[in-house]
Amino acid sequence: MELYNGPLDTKEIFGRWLDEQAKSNYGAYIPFVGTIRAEDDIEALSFDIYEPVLQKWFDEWQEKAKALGAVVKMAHSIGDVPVHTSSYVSAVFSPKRRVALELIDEFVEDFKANAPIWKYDVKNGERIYAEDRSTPMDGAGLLS
Amino acid sequence: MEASTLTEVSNRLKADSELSLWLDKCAVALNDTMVNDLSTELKDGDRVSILPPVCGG
Repeated sequence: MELYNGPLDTKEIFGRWLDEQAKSNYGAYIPFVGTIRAEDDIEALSFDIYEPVLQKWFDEWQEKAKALGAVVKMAHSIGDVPVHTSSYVSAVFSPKRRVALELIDEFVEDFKANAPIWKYDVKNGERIYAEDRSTPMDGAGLLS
Repeated sequence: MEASTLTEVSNRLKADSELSLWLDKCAVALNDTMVNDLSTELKDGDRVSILPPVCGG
């Protein structure tokens, strides 16, 4: 898992991951790129991350992937990420395509639902919590 | 905060009118591990994290 301040250098990250696994004999490599769209007059999105819980979430996914003979990778931004740049990339390597196609779907969807990352719109230099697009994590409401 | 279980933490937080509005949307971690059981016992130095709705990516 890789965390960076500001936008991601997606080509460097994907190229490096590909090089790292060049001799691993995986038949499928599926990258996913999340790019900040220009909408609602935002200048950027901004992100806070609670790294200890994110690391545990990611470690569990690495174990799930390993049980399928696959590898999951991810990188995410901290702080401001301007429109038309990328804040999130992930990828799956697996021996055959079917496992990789299913795993990238489950991995990205669970990431959206349960990775401890908070998003803010940046408008006129102000950071506004994107509450309407955010999802309560599994187990939410325990203390209510 | 002094508390011996998460139930006690819950009762204390519910007494705060501003914070109580958030509790049904927030998940909880104890020492950075997600928890789902209110009867979980707490000891000195434990860290309880309240995690509001998320949106990575």
